[in-house]
Amino acid sequence: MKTKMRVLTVDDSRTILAMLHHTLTNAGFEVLQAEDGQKGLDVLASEPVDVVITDINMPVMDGITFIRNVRSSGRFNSLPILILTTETSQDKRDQGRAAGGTGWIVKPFDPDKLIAVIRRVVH
Amino acid sequence: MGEFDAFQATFFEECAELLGELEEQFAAIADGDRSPGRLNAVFRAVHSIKGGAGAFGFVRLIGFAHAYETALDQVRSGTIVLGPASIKLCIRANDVLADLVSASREGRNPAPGLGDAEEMEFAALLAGETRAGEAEPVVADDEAPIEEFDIDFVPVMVDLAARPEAVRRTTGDDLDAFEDAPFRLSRNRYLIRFTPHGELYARANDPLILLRELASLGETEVRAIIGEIPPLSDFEPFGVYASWEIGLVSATASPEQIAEIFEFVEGICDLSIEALGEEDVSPSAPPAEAAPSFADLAAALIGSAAPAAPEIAAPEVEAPPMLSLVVAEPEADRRGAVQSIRVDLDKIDRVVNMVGELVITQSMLTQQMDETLRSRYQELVRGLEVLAQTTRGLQDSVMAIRAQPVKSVFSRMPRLVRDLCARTGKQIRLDMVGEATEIDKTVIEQIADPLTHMIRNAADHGIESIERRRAAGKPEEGTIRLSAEQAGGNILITVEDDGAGIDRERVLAVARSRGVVGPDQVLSDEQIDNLIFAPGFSTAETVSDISGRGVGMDVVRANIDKIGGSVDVRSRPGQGTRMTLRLPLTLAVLDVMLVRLGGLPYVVPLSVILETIQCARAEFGVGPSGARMLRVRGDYVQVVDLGAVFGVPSALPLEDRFILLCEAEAGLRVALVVDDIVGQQQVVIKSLEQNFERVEGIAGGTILGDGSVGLIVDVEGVRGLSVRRLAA
Amino acid sequence: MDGIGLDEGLAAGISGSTDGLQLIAFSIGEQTYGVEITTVREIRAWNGATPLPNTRDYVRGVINLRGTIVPIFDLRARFGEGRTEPTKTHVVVVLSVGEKWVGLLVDAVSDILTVARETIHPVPQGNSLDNELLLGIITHEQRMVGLIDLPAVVGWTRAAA
Repeated sequence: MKTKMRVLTVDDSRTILAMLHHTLTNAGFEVLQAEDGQKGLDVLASEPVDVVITDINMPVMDGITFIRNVRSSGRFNSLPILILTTETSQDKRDQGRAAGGTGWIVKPFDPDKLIAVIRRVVH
Repeated sequence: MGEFDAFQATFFEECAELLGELEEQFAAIADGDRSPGRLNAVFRAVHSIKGGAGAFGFVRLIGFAHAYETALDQVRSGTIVLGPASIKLCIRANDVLADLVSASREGRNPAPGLGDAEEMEFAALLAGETRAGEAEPVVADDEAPIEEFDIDFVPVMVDLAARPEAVRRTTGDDLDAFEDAPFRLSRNRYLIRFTPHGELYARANDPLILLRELASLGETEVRAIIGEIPPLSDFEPFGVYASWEIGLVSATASPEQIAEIFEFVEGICDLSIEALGEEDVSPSAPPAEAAPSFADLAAALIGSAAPAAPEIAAPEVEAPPMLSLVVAEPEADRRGAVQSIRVDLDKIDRVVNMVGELVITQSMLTQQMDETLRSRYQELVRGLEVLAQTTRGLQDSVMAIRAQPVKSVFSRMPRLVRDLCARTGKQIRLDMVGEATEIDKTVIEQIADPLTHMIRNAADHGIESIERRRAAGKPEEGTIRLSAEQAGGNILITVEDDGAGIDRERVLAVARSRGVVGPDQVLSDEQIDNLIFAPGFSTAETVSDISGRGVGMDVVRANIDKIGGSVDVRSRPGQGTRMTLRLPLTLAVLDVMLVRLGGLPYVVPLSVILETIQCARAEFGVGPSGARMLRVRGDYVQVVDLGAVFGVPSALPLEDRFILLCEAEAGLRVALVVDDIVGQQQVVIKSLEQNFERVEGIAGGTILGDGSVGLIVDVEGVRGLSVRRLAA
Repeated sequence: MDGIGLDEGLAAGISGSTDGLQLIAFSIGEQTYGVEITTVREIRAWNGATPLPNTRDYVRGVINLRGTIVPIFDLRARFGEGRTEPTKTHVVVVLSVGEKWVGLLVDAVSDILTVARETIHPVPQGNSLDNELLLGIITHEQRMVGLIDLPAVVGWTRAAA
């Protein structure tokens, strides 16, 4: 059995980051944080991560570009990426999936549902 | 504070920043800058407020933010072009947003109808754009009719203490059985056919997880279809060859629930779910783990019947690692991105305090070094020198951590000025300069109120009514200029207006009638101007709700004094008034003059000292009441023997002593006589009130280089004391 | 520094029953006073204090206690016996009064006493200062020990109420 599962959370909202951190650490995950896609890439470049949860609307580098960059690097083909967004429209979700997103979580999220969704994309 | 409260606190803190950001961006947008960066930034700010509000169920805030965001999204995409009217609408919307945030923070209901007008205007804006556009509405599904947003955005309270009863589908059979069909005994049989496409793997979806989730619904029998797998020689690493057939027997699972498991892979796999009817038999084979099918797959791959080790069960094939993460941005840009963390201010304060102690300890050690020690322990001396340098560097670095741009306070002012314009009927433009100037966070918190008073004062008393401005040949729109700059060890914040200037005759008359100024006391223009800061002084003919009753500029003075700053006003009749706040860069460290009185050390803040004079060279006179006065360039200044006031009388003759010419409140000067001037230094301010109580004439204490306590002189307090001594 | 560790004294004093009251006793001339041991933070030798202007005559000034400023009260002066002429052998007992830490300047710390609560008697009427500043009187081995009312001694009775 390996050590704690590591989740990278990427969101420009500190509130969301804090809530994700709380929910995920309570569920036994280790949580890494980044405030935008660029910083998310920086974290991925140096830290092993089991699953990524990313916002779509962010400064510097948005979530779609972030996912595209992660996938195009070739190193993270099997890294599950969950899109975290308030956009209920199929639009953003499809863009995220087309870029390589594995699944999605709709904000505001329910803690149990969040964990359930993560369990659906990662062992 | 519970976790939930902490999240809310974070949210409101973030809202304050985002609202400030909105102000700032719209100021630039109103000036004609419509760059995509700005439009995206305002969209994101509103979007973030909505997102956070959703987490806490602030329904009205969510609703309004959504309407606003919807409009901004169309602005961002270029469908709506911002004109002067729509910019004004957005600025009003920012204010509504701020009010809704305040209401949420204070746990009260927002004013009825707040934001309704703006929301309708946004709707009209969107509708107009839609009509102007193609037959197909430009607005996306969830963005369209604003009245319907509630349906899209049902806020879910995140109750972290008690976990909601909501969806626990994945926790297995029993719970769902209870929820959906508690008394059902028969079980449904399904045959599920699942063929992943390449895309499924490219998005890091994992068939194994999906199969395990199916297994959680009931009993499964999984069969991997591996006939398509080519011999190893023809094997494509990214090729997709395997598919699965799963037999599921479940008492509870509906086809919808099964489909939901495959929600994320919809469109990137072939999926069929076939209901085979009810089954009445006892459980069949024990639940099959999905893994064996992968073992089969691996076995087929290798061309041997031996089961493969579970470790290689992962169905996706990883490409060899590339050299590095390829990022589109050039290297320089990546370096430019500043990494940051958020730290509790308390923690920094603790570090600041400890560094203060370290500075003192270090200077104590240095003072212990006499010549004998110096010559005998040269290594020790060198070590101490390095320690001194490092300590100084550490102190500077810690102070830099606490520094913040004044923007956070400045950004509240445009709203204030707009409100003031609305209430007074005046037209006022606010120009802001130097918002990036950095200053200690504690100082920033302390200047918000004084600055608000100053701006109000400028709008209320400084800028004239439109009619009066017209009559004076001035533009109808008055201007208030708010600026910040660093000047040496101080930050200067200036509020300047192009109004009528201070009516000195009236100010002086009021000051005389209230006994602030003696009947035959002659004051310079500058001194008269500064009388507006005298306690209780207010010349407003009608007490307006803008400047408030009596609490005005004297409060500004008191607040600024408290943090070791000073305030000054200059006015030109008919042309305007300029008020300048001079603030210390930091509160933790005070620049002082170390003096001696009767052998005891005292410190006087450098910020109040105008000059130092040897008594032997000073020109004294006697005032009308018999008190000693100092003559300074034609003016007479009250002389206060500090030793006498503090009960430590001097043994020295007057001519051997020194004068500190200081500025007390309201521009009044006072000449403090001390025994000796030791020199300037920086000290860490310590409270007397923490363990004792307030002492008149003393602003606090500090630990001196020898470890003893030095008292910080409160010049205004001392002036008050000496006035009462004279009267007694 | 010149602080005296409390541990030895404490070890010597932990002989009383749990419902008894443990006091630190100190002397001013012939008089013995006591405070509850739980309020004592530190005992240190007198090493001077910076006088405070315009305050009560029994406030000797302030000292630096590891970076915080602590006021020193002259207990002799407080009981109207005149100011102490302190030497290096005089002692400052640092105590907590509510949230605040204060120092009492006394001649010497004499003992740690364990007394039963029932042995605390009311202060006899007569000396108004004693009535004002003491919570009670304890007789211990033929000595009279005045139990000090700390908020009253430092002059914060009203402020604290």
